[in-house]
Amino acid sequence: MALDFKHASVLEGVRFTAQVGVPNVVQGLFRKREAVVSAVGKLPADHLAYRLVEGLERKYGPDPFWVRVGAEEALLLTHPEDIEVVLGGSPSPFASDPDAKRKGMAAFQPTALTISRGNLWADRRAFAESVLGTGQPVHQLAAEFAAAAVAEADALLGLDRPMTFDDLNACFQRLTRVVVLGTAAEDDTELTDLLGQLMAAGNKMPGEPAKGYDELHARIEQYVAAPDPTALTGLITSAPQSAATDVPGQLIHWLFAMGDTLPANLMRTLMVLATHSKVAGVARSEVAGKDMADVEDVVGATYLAGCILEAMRLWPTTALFGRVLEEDFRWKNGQKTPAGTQVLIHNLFNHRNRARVPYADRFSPEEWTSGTAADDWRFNFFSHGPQGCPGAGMAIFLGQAFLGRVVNAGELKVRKGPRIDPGRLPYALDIYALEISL
Amino acid sequence: MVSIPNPLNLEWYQHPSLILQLAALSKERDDLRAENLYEQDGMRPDDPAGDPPPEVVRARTADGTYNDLGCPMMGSKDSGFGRNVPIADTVIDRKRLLTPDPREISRRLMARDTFKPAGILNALGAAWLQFENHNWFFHGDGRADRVIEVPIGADDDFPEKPMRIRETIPMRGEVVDGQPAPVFGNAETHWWDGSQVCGSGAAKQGQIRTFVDGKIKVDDNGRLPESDIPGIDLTGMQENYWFGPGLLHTVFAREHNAVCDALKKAHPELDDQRLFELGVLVVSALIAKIHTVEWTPCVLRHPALQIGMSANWYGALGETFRDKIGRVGDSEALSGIIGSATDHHAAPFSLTEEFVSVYRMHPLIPDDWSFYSLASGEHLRDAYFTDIQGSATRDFMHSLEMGDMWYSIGKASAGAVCLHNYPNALRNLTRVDGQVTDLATLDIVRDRERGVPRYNDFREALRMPRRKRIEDITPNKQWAKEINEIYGGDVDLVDLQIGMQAEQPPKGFGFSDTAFRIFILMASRRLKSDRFFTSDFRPEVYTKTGYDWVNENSMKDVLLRHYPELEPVIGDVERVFAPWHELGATEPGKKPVILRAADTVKSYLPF
Repeated sequence: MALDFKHASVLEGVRFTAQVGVPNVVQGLFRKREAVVSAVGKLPADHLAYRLVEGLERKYGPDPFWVRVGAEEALLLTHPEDIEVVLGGSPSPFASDPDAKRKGMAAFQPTALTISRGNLWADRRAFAESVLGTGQPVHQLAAEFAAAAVAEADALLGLDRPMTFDDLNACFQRLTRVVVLGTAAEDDTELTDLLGQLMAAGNKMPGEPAKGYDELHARIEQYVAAPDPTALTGLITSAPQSAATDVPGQLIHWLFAMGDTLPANLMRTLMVLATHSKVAGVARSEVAGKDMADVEDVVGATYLAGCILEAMRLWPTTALFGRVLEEDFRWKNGQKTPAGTQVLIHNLFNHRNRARVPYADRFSPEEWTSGTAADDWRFNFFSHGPQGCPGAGMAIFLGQAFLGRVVNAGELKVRKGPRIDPGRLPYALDIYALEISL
Repeated sequence: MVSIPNPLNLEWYQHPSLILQLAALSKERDDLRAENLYEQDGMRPDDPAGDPPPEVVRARTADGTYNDLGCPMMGSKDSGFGRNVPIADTVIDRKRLLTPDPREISRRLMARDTFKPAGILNALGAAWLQFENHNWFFHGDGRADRVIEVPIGADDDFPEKPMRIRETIPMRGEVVDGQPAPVFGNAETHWWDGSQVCGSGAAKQGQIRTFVDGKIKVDDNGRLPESDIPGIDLTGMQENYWFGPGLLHTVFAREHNAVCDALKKAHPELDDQRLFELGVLVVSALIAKIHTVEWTPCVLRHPALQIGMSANWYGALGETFRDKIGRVGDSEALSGIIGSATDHHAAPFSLTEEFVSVYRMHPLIPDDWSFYSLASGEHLRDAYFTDIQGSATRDFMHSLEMGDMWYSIGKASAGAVCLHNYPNALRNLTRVDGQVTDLATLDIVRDRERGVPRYNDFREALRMPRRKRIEDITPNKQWAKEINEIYGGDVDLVDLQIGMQAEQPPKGFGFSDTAFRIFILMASRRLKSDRFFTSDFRPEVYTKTGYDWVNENSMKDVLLRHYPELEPVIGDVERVFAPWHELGATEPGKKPVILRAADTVKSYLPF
């Protein structure tokens, strides 16, 4: 064979492109297009994508295999051993800036850590880890953050109508601004709107900063120049950085990830808590009598953390992500892959692989608290390895505080949304179609 | 196949076209299958009663039993060697056991004067054959109190006088002068089952296995572990060990473990035993495939063999057809032996004494070795064969990087299988157990003591023409003169080994046509009789992962998998058993001279 992986057929490549590649693009890579997401949600698009990749994996796996995406062949990974090789080998030789990602991100975060290489990556990573407290049991500003999250929960609990995603998102955008930039930014919705416009521009993959980027950068720079000791800006001066770090550029990514992705995951978590009475019961008993402003209470809510992680596993906000090989690479069994190869990781399939994950389609937070899910390289909503999300701990912490407060307040009810079968959860859960009364 | 008339009694290679040559070869093999498979009574113990248990149906057993479910003991470890000549032709002439003097034959006809390279085959190819023999046969260690004493003359510098050669001990009964030979037993399984890597028999396999995830013992540096035999790796077959087989035993132990990893990845539910069994199945089939479609066409460069050996494996329709379309019915000719129906032809399967004899190809081994750095190409050191074999093997191997040894053995040429090219290191060899032997003398004595017919009788039994005069054996006049002197002009007395090494092989062949007759019969029989290469060569038995592994990998893939540092020297090589080029000698799109030569040159033989 010469040492190479198997190749899916051209026809299979056309289907892969149509069913896996294209839906990811049309729904918006960075800013979800609400109408399209809802339309796609009504189609069994994610289910079709899953079935397609499942069939390909059965035929060509479990090793990586080549599949055509558009005109080029990319290597699709489905086994945790191979994913560990790639993500463990990021950013070098598996760089995390495939062309599409770099071109899209260039619109609103051209200097982001995730698309940096080499020394620049190390420089920016050290900065992010320092400020975000990566790997610390508790962030040094955890008390302030818990209080801010609880305040947002209380705001939503005060709604006199069912909560929509827009409500939740608005709260989390505010929370994000407070956590990252400080209380001075609490009501700076213009900044959030500007970021939203730039992300929408990123969907078109322009390959250069979009109009308005300089303004966004300048606004963030102002907050950095006047650091708030209760926010992440307060930790910046003591963090390692160089002239190349581009601090405001790094903060954009945190605003993007925390303000957009986290509420989407929490919306789905709330949906499950509203429909799975057993899960809700366990969650409620875990936080009973706690007001969630206490850091230890938040950290102790491990089942709730499991719930958030499980929602992220079941409905990953990034269905497909990739790496690109900087140099020729030889795999463990000798297969040689040339420099420039795109390596794809299809979270949607890997997270739900029925043949390998016994709880594939069930909501199983206990797999995160007492099982092995946390060590499984198959689950990559936070990525893994050296490029694992440096803010993962903080995101989960904010989510725990928020959810704990909401769960404690009473029973959740789905007022609008699809009926879901707890034993066979759907592949897509449209957050825009949900209304939940808290 | 349609029988083509042959009024001129041409040898297969003398036919004027490739089609006719292939037809003649095919007919030759059919005749051999019908006329040259014999066995005696008492070849194997009685078969066990009752239905075979599932664990012996699904995979190869440690002792080679139950390959044939209807005759479970067939081909098992310790069962007897069969014969390719009629039993009546195996009469042992004890009175002439040492006539003519085998040591004299060794000294005057076989001893290497200058190294004659094979050209078409590298030293890795020589090591490969020994590696394979380690799988196939071993007559056992004999007994210290039963020896043949070969007189050593006063002018002979052989260190012991007389030379003592341990007798081959029959399975049962005794050698009777003037009577057909008794049955000798094979201490290995007869099957092509990778037993040189994993061992024959449960006890041996128990030493080799880790009992975790099906794997066998390889140390953290990817080397084989120490054994209780000083200087010899812990591996399935530890006889006649030197660094060449050492490399191959190592790489295929690693291959076994890589297969187990891949199987476990695809089938996490499989336990250690199943993973081990499947690893054995896959690696043994891969070794058989490499031997059939890579090693053999390299040593037999005749165009008919390039097609014929590939056809053995893939069938006449070829690899691409079979991979894309599958088998066409049960036709061995169209779709190859692999995956066809099992057939033992005229006798139950066993390897044969004659098969052992024709594989005595010690001239393939060079005496003088040079070792080079794979990283820089610089010459590191020279070594004499004595210092890289036996109890010196491990120390030697641990003094060099694996890549340096692979590069050096790949670069070196094997010796031509002909007279005056027998390695002198093997003619004065101190074995691990302290016995001092001249293997050339031993090769002559072994054939005689086991009742393997001498050259002319051997040929007649294979329906090849007898040679009327010694001059008819070889076109080399000097050799004919020397043979005449030793054998007193009696062509019928000429030993099989001498005749084969004096013969001029067919064009492109690395060994004689006489040896080749046994080869075409037995090479295909090793596949055709084995259900794991025939009816049970299918994904349901091998798993899809295992089945694909066999079909998709080559020796180059195996080497690059475990030694990717070899890429600069084998990356553009098509035949890994032909001499490799120098480091840095290659340029894109242009084959180095040595590769172009390897694709075309004929065996170097002094005719």
